[in-house]
Amino acid sequence: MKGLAGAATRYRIMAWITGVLLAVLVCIGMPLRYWLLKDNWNAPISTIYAIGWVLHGWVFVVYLAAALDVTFRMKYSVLKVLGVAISGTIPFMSFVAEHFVKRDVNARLTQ
Amino acid sequence: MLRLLFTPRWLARSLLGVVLLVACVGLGVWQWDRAQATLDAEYAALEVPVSVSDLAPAGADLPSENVGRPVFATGRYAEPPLYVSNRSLDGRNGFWVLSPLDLADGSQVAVLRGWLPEIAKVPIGDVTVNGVMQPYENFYADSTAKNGVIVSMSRDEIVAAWGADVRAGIVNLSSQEPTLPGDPLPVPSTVQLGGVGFPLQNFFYALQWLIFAGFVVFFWWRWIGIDLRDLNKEKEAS
Repeated sequence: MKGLAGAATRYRIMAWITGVLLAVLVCIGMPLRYWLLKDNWNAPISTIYAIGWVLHGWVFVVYLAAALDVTFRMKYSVLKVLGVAISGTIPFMSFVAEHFVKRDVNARLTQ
Repeated sequence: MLRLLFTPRWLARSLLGVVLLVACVGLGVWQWDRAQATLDAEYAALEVPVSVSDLAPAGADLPSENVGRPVFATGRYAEPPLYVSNRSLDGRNGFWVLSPLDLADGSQVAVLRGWLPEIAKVPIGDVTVNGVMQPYENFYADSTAKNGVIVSMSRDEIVAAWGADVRAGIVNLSSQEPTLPGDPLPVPSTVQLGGVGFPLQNFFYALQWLIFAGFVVFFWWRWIGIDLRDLNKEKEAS
């Protein structure tokens, strides 16, 4: 399988970046923004928080490209492709998807 | 290829592709509308008049985003007025008149009351004014006031005449209640309303949905290519 190892590495890097960024935004950003600072919309944290979501949007575009690439090389079914794609937008799901893709790719490569 | 396209499997895949495509474009349009609505709301909010004390801090500079915003103020015109030389109205040379307006909280704000053909005493009294916030002028910074006549409406000139506690910026009068006998003719404001925060998040999401729509097309095309290649290989093998 030419290129599969490289595609898998690219996907795994993007899955971790997307997952960590999303976890920080949801677990730290959201409570700060909507709970502790709910009346202070002009606090610098609000701007950083908004920038974080914009960043996540672009990171997800790259994640999606890497995810579609590796799932196609693996000839996943349509449902699995969609599942891996969407997991970049659900907190912590990208780590789960990364685990299964890594397992499948390793099985394929050691065949 | 056509035969492959009309297999049940590829009909289902194409249908899913069209659904995803329509969804991506629709969501992109929705985010675009959201960005537009946010912009419209921000501009509309800027056009609602607010009290001058909310926009013009005392003893500081006028924040640039407050330039051009409509304001109102209630107070009393005080002395001494400042006359700005070499200002024309409808082609006639004359003076602009600035008066300090004493506000209820003890602070003062500069009001550009309008134009006079020559230096004349302006009335003082209790008024409610509507106007547009405008910044100080900063040309001819070295010039000094002579008998209450100034060349440019700079912060230095205004502070020299009225003291450092005057609120930032100048209210360009548009209407006044009540009018007083001997009022100057109000002059139109020339400053533009400043910008508003651009809803980058919605704008980028709109863009990203279109990119995802592109992904759908690209991967549909790539996938059918792979299937076609595999099919040809099988044919050759048999």
